[in-house]
Amino acid sequence: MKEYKDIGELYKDKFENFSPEPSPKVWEHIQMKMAKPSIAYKKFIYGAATFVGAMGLIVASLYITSNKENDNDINTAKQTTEATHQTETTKKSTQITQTEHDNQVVNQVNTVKYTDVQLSETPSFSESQASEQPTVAKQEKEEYVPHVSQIVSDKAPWNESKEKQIVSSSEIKTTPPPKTNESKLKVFVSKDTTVCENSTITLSIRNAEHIRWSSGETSQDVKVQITNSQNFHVSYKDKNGKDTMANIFVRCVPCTELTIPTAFTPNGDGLNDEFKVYASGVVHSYEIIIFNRFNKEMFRSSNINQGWDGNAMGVAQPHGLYLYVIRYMDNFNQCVERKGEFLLLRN
Amino acid sequence: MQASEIVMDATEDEIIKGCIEKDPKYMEILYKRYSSKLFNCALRYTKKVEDAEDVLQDAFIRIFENMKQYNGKGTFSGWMTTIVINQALMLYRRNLQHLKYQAGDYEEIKHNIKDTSIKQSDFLTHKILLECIQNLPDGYRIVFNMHEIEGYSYDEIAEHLNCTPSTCRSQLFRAKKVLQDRVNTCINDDNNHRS
Repeated sequence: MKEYKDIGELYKDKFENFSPEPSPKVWEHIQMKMAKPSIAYKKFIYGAATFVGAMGLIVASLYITSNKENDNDINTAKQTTEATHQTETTKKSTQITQTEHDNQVVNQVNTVKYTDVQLSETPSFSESQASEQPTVAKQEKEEYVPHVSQIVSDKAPWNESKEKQIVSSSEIKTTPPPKTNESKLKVFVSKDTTVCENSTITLSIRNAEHIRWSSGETSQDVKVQITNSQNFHVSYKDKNGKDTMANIFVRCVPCTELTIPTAFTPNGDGLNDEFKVYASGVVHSYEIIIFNRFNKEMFRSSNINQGWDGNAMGVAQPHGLYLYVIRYMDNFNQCVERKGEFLLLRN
Repeated sequence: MQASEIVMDATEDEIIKGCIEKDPKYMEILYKRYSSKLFNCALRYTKKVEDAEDVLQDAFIRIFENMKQYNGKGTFSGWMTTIVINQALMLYRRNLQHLKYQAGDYEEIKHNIKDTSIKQSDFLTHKILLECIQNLPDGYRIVFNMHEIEGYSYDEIAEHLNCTPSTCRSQLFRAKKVLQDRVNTCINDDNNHRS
């Protein structure tokens, strides 16, 4: 008979060669779960999709930039030829500009990386594009209505954009359009905007055909969730069949959001031992005051990282309902006050 | 079935390679070869057989998914045992909020067992031993298993359980007392029953 000095030794010895059989269900379940694509595989798929999307965006932006330059060249050429009324020279110069354009395309392809950088520096990129656009509109004669990314905000977009449209079309009237019936066609695209993080916005385009958003969608309106500042591109054909692209820059700012727990357990187990408020975004001049049910102040702090441990004046407070008042300034410098209640749980 | 016979005597390296490639044959071999050893571990760390099976199942899924991360350090079965233990600890943490264990109950347990040696009897089957350890409070059971059987140090256990090493030490001390008490009671009961 073997004697053990210690219970641990007994268990170690006894269980060393103990081989119980788990129920066959376990293996069935494992097989079932493994048959589904694993998380890692899904991640790979998402990663690949994002990569393809990013490449598509770069190619599209390249195409647009080169295309626009091409248009400019042709239009300038046409303007000069009309002024001199020499049609033959027109053709020649167009051809010349065409070849120049081809060279430019080659250059563009060589500077893919540069274009990529421009895309990431979205604010300056969109601004520069916006400032370019009026001149583009002036030069175009075939399409005398500007295909500019004009100003459609959610609240009062259309009036504002009409005003701008009138101004630009009056300028264009100096060179009368070839087809007057289609002159009323105006293309509207949502304008650049600033939104809160993770909010969903709708981007719109009107009076255009063959719409294609950078996300691949072809509808007039697209809903997108904004997680970081980014440019959206939409390519479309207007009634004159002209391929055009508009750029919408959506700026993303972190908006203040407080996560306030509804209960906590100050029992020292390391889990939810403190009543602590978590904030995402900017919080200025934070203040929290906690009261018990008899309106007696239990805790006050102006540091958001400081939580309440359930003690007031060194005395552990009993199980029950407590109230809080939180005041802070958000990143738009607006004063916000939040009130609510939470539970202190004790065994 | 022939296919599995071919790989039945596959070496550890072959099995690992096969599992990385998600070859079902090798996955089955791995399971058949190690399931009882790991189930032994899972049983000791959980309260019920059902929990142990859940832990084993989740652990095997993690083993198959993370097979690439096994870098050859230490034994392969040791690596898998660690995963089972981690899975059991996850279950423990999940249950922590639901199961209130009152330390007071165990303070009252008599610590006056003078005879610390235990005689191994035929009746001291695995079933009884398992029952004794499964009925321990979660914290006691985990500390006892990790320190006495798996040989973790107090510091390592403290890190896993998010407590101090001295707490682990005192928990282990109490766990052993309680366990010894229970095992002795079981032996006595069994002897009385037989006589």
